[in-house]
Amino acid sequence: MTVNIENLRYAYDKKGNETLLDIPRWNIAKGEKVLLHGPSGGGKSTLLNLISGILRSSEGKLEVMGERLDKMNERERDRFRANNVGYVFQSFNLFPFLNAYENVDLSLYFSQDAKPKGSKQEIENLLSELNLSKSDCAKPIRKLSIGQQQRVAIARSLIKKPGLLIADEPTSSLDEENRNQFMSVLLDLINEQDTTLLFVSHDLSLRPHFNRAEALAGINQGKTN
Amino acid sequence: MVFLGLAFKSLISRRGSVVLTCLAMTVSIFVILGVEHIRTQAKESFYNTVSGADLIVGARTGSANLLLYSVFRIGSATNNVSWESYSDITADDRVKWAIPISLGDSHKGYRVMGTTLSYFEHYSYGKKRNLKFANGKPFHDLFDVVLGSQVAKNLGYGIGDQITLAHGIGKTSFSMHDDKPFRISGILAPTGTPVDQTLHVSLQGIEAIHLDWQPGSRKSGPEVNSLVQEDLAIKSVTAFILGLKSRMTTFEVQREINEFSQEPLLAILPGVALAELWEMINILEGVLQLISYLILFSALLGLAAMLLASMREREQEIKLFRAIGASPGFLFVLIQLEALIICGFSILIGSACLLLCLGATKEKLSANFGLYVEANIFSTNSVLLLSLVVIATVAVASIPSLGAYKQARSVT
Repeated sequence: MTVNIENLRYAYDKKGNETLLDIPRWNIAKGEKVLLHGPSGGGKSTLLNLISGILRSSEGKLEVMGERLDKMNERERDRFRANNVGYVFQSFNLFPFLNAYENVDLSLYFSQDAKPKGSKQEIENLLSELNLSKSDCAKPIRKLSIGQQQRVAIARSLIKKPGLLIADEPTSSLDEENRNQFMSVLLDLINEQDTTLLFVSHDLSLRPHFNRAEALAGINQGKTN
Repeated sequence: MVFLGLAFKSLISRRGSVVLTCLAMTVSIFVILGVEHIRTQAKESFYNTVSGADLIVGARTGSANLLLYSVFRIGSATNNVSWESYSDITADDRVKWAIPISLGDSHKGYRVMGTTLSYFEHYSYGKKRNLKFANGKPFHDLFDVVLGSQVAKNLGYGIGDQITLAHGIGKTSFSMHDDKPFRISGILAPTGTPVDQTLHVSLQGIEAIHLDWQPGSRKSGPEVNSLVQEDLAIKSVTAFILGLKSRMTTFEVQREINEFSQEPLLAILPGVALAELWEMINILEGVLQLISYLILFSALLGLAAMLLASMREREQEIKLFRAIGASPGFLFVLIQLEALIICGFSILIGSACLLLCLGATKEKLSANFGLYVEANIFSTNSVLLLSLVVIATVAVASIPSLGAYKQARSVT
């Protein structure tokens, strides 16, 4: 089991008065590809932040790749995330002051597990596999097209071969052609690396790419906006 | 290295505001280092003006005034000391050496000082360094003159040149001693003291040019050729410097001179008088320091404001950092490092500019203000000051750094 949630509660205030998330039970199996959808402000990003260890749950059990995130302190969760979780956002996936290569390399810097693997060659291979030429990789990020930037973002999040990849609406700013290209590249790599995928999107036309699709409202009993 | 590279690249991406902040910091570091350097150099140069002398004696006046006109050639004496009093005092067994000083004439704005050969033998400055000749020798003839290094350099004089002295100490004088020109016999090596801006002649030379003078105007007098050095009786001196055989007798001799019955005299201890005089200008020193600290403070606030303003733009960047595994502490250190890089560059550029400026204006400062400033700005004081700047930068940058830290912890 990659994600195992039992009686998870999360409230913004410490007293727990306004519970945003209350999930009695929810699981994602290893290698599974899950599409999570729901209205804005429903707590999707908060759930992703809990699963990645950026936020800490107020109550309940949250196990990711066999590790109890709810029992870890902030430093341990940061290390866990750096080693095991890849993250792709809708926008601002890359540091604009670094080039493609440096962006991918920085991700490895925080990952203690991935560091000793002779990473330079690995980064170059992955970027080339994603159809990014050497000259493109040396360019400042702002000079790359949106499609190229999203491919670099995939490389950035998968270079450390994470057990879980979290994608937070990564296709919503792409046109159809770029969206299809993005999904195809992403899924190829996910399958190759046997990575579990938790994908958040409003776009239900993507449903065929996933093992299952779930609405957050279906699993969450907490108060939503 | 990763930290440093990231901080550098992040700063370069915001180069517009970073360059302006760096400029403000550079100016403040230039000012704070400049004020500190000139202040310590001025103080050092001030205290080094005279050394090894036990007492300075002149007509009764304030100790600061006596010190100013006898050592710094600033201002005028209220009265002269009679030659009899000078002879009586210097004949005392406790006196080892004496240097008479006779002032009142000038040459193109530079003071002329009448003295004896004892001056070249006993006058010392800095850490008891004696006067040395760069060229020529002391005055031996009645109309020989020895120039201070700056006088010779600024007026382009050499050994053997003839010059005319002017009556009085104004830069422009209409009363010239042009009937009795002096020949330059020697040029002193630079000392970094008012000696460099003085022309030295014998006491007899001073008497000789005033033989045909009544107060304020010239009357007919003897021809130059007929004057014999030995025949010229010295009537008075402006002040004199005493070296005693034993330091233990200093206060005793000082008291006796201050109670001298033949005429009212004042004997001062040069070290004490120098310290008192420096105390008088201490307020100015404090004001200059305060202004420079305020300039630094405002530049540091500018730095904090720039970094703080960038926090809003960097909200997404912080989110991304957190997503790839960076801890809030990493972001705190990153912002601190950015501030330190700006501070480091400002220190480098500010110091380099100051070095260049001092190198370029060193000569002018000594010629126009008598301020002898070394170009080497690195001293224990300046290193301490720069350390303080770095500490202040860290303290001020804590505001945006803490902002980044908090933002990183509350990423949603």
